[in-house]
Amino acid sequence: MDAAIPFAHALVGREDLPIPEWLFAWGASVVLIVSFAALALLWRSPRLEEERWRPLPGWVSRVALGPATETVAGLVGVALLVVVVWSGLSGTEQPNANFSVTFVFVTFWLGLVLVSVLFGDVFRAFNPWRAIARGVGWLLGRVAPGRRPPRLPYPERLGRWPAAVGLLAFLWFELVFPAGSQTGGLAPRDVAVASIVYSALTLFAMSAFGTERWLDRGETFSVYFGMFSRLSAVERRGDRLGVRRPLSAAGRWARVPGSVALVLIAIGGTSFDGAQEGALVDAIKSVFDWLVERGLGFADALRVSDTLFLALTLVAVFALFAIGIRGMRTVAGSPPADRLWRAFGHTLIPIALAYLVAHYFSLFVFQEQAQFGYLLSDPLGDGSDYFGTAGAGIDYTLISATGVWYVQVAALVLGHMAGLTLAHDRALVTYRDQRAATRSQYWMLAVMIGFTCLGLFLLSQANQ
Amino acid sequence: MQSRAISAAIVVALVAAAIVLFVVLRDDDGDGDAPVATTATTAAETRKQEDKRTKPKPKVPTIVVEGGQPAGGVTQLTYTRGELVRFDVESDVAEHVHVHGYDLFKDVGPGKTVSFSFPAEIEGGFEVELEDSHTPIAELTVEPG
Repeated sequence: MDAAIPFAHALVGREDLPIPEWLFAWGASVVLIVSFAALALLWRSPRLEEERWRPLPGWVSRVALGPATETVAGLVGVALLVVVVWSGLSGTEQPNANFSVTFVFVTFWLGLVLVSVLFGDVFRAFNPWRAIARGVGWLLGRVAPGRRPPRLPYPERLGRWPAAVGLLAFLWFELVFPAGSQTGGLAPRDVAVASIVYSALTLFAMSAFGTERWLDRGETFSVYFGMFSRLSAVERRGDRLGVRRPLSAAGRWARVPGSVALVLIAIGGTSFDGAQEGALVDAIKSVFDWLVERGLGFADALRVSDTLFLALTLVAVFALFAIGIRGMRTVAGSPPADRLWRAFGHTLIPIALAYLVAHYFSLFVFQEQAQFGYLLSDPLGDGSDYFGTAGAGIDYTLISATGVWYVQVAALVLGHMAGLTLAHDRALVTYRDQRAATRSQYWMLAVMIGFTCLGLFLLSQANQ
Repeated sequence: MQSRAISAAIVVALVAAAIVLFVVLRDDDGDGDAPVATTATTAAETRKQEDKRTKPKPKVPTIVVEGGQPAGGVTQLTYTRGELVRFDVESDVAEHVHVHGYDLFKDVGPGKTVSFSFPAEIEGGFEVELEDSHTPIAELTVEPG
């Protein structure tokens, strides 16, 4: 291997070892076993279509959703946004030593997925843009009561497409844009500028379409974390917090246009990140060389070739799901393709989660030590020590390589099972008789096995 | 009731199958020579083998930096956990060598060869780079023992 091209990444540090062949074989075998077990053990009536939401005791809701909590959480969110911008603009250019990069791409982007799955839509309370909008609304109400600026009706046909486009932009910024950067990571200054631009866009859109409407449809992070919170057992309804059957709320999610695209983009982005370090590294390099020979600069050539392969990965992921839908259409009594597309889109949410865990679990564990260690005390990387933790480093021996492998494979297998469960349940209400439902599920089974084995394959090819 | 018993039996059988597969596939790894003839790891790999047989005269790989770039590309250094990682860096420009993960820094420059020698105790893949120019010069891989 000669002068290797660096892969684009927000952060560099430790890389996972590829999962060994025996574990790949074992994981794939278990996936097949699980799948056939699912076919053998199919239940006959849907179980997840009813959410069975039950309110928690009143005091829980009052504490968790009360105005005091809301105000404090909102202020924390705004303060963190300010710290990201401040550290990005005036801190060190070294991505690993600057608060902004680790906070945005690890603590926020990965951590909130975890929190959403466990505790529901927590981000809603901490969302800085929502907090700002509500603060401004409150102020306007005091200064000029009764004079609310006119609202544009949100074009419902757009659905969640603005959020899907935003997600694609975010992934491109994380995975492609840093290519060829001086430090090999994302420049903190760019993170700050992107945060400012995104904040401006969001505040503008919220004032145009209404805060809640935009949070529900267009604000990328609310929609993205909200998607994962659908897997959770915790849900707020009005001013009450309650619990429901885990996974059950996912079923309603994909009805809005753009939702399926969003979850497929999430899967595609993670796939590309895994593939650019392993499976696709040679292909990217050959396109890169070809572009350089034609006189393109180093960084541009890398960005163009990465963008190309990100697009190809997305096409492949969309195609895999589309084939499954196509196949289901062939079953007698099947609804039209666009309805199937929306009826089964939510079954991919657990797969998206599994991909995230498999690819970023170790990064999260290690980088969070930096977040709550030296980055907390020295956010700018200028030698400050606010809380006495500036000297704390990352203990890379916290989990062994073997431990990481087991978590990765377990995540993919569990995600596979959850996806199959949701798909089977939905098939029972989509198709009249159980026979047709089962037959349609051979196709979804193939899609799920495809995604899970792709995930395993990417892990086995990592960093080679 | 009966179908429930059958379901339970299927689950038990499949769990058993999964466990058997895990053990069988895992054992396979034990006697097959695991390091899977890792990528062109010339220097480190031979060194590793030599080290096992003879202690004296260990051949330590030297990474030569010419004009700020590693001569001959990025060196692959592959070790198993617990072994001693050793390599030298020679450079015609003044730089800092940084071993990621292990977070070791050493100054290098014309006429000033540096030697690294430390136990491979953190598993994973780590870059060795020239800190100022962010040029990767070696890729250190530590596999589980």
